[in-house]
Amino acid sequence: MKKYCVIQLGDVTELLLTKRLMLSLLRGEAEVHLVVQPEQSQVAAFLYPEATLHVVAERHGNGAMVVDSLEAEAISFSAVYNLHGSVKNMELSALFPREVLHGYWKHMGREFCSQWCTCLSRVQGRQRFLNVMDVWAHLADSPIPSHMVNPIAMRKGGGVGVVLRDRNGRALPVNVLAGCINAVCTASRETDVVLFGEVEDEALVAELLPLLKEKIAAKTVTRCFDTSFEDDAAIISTLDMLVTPESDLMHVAAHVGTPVNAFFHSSAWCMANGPYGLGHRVWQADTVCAPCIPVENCSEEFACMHVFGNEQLQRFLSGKIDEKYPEGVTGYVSMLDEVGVTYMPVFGTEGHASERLALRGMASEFVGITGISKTVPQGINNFYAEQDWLLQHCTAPVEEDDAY
Amino acid sequence: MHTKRKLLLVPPMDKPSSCVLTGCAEALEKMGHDVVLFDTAAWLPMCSALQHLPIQLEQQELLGAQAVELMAQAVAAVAQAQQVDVVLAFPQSPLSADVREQLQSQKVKTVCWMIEECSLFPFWRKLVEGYDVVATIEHEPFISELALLGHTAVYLPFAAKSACCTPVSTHTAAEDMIVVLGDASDELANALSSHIGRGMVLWGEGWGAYDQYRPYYQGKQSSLTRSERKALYRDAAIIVNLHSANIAAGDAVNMETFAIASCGGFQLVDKRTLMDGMFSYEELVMFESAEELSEMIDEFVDDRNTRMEYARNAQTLVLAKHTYEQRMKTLLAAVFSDEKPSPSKS
Repeated sequence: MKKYCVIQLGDVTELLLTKRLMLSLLRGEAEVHLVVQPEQSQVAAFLYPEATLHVVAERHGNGAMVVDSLEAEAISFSAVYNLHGSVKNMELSALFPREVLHGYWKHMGREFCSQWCTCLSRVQGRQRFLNVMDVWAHLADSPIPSHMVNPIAMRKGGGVGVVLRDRNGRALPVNVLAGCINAVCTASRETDVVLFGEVEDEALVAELLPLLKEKIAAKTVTRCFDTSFEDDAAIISTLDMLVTPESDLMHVAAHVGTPVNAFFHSSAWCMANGPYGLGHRVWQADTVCAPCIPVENCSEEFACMHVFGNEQLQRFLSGKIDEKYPEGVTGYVSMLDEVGVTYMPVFGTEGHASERLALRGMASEFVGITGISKTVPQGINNFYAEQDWLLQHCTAPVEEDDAY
Repeated sequence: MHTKRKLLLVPPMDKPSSCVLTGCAEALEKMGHDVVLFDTAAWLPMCSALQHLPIQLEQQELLGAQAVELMAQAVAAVAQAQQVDVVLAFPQSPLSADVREQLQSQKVKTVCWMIEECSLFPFWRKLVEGYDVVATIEHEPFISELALLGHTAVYLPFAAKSACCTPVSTHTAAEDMIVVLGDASDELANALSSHIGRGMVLWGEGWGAYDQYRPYYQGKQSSLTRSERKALYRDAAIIVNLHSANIAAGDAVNMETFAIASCGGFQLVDKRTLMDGMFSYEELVMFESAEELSEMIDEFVDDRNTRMEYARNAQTLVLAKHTYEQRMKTLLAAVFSDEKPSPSKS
């Protein structure tokens, strides 16, 4: 039986985005081990009950990493997927033989990563074209098809869920958020709303409720208290839709097949971080500064969040399709291609569409799905660099000139 | 009389003195052209040093790009100083897209002989940028795609070095030696198991993983020197030339097919689509499955006369039709296809 190890030291979102890789490795009754941070161990056990879990911990004294019961079997894995290039990840890689490592590792003080990661690291900001789920999945040979990862999203009858804050703790301006909730509920003829937040969001909720339509506000319940991941997942799996910024719960909705209606702003870029699977919708802020690295004092005065308050956009959100679509937000629906999930612009135009298709074509060639992709024009991007193929052979002493 | 040209050959980083490189150089000189060889090997210690530095990924990316640019600029400087008409390079030659464009602007023709299969070398899209002419060992759909991207595309299979040829009748076949060159698979390991202990020796990837083959496994193919190869090709009773462990799935014909033929060796080779029209069943014995290979070994191992006949036919054919001289003639014709015939410089 094949044995694999996946090292995922990221947060809950990243744990959810490891699903395609995990399912691919679990095929054929392989034994899959998963290494996570202590705070993610419960979620990991819930999401991947078939996997053998290991938790990293700091060793007292020299500060080195230890992983419960992993050291003893480190040499028995046929492949190890180390998904980040962090100091902790690099340190953990030393447990394993070099030839089984994929992703990131360190040897004799030098950092290494898979060629796939090198190529993708060159594609930043708006150029990003590949969902993180697919980035990790394609580290394995022939990952499972993208349609087998998450169920097709369908309404379940339980009303509309609303996630108040994104991964970075940011919430839309309250009037913008209220407008979006009102509009989406109008379009879907819903009045039942569940708000997902933290204890400290009570003030936000108090501000929000008076701005909601009366019949919506009357039927709104809040979950702004300590909830368990399992409970949130159970509730989300009964909803008709989850209105959300880029958040852990957005990926939970995709995981259980509840339609996502996402508002992507700040650092969120749907091509890289969007909900995985069919049946989801993303409203992507397309202001010139987006996507960004979020800062406290935004020089653009949070234009990417205010853009969702545009009256014309809110008419679209409420289902009134006018001839003129406003600028600054592109409306996408999720779709699948041979590489993984991607998003098709439905409202507005995507300025970088041809570049995205070209990059997906190259990625498809790289992982061996397509022979020669028809979507790649000449010299359009920086996915490859000469050192990828010129320097890799220069690690051994030079052979004598009688070499073949 | 053809026009005399001056060419800068840029040897590949992975095999600076590869057969293809020396084949091209010797052929071009024989044809009367001037050949300047860039000393790629001299740069390898620098690259090797870079590859061993204990540094982070971002630093590697930056230094790697600088190293490539430095080597590429060195090639460009030689091309300029030596006033060459053509720079002939290979996928692993130390050039960059920027430098190729710079050469083009100086009216130097840039040519790449793409001797890798594009499915195994996804970097080809970056590689071909800035080349006027791309010669390829594969045919469609690659040729059309290259033309679509704006290159002059030429189908140019590997070839035989005429210097390797010695008369087949002088060969003293080691009747007990079966040489297998190629990578292992479960299918091949099963099919060849009945020949273990009957003089079979193997080079390639993966054979060491099978217990029964381990005593006969010699190492990677790259561990064989040129003179060792020549001796093996000439003297082994049978050479099993495997393009890929995935038998009968590919197109391009490897360099070994031509090299074995030119040395007068007898080979059993997995069939590739591009062998059609290049070789017939009178010159090459082709198999399409591991089982068929095993049967053929039984059939030919005790039949020296038939083997020698095939070897002679193959040698005659490659000398007549598949030499580096012929390839270089085709290549230069494509490079200068837009030139009107002019009187010879020499």
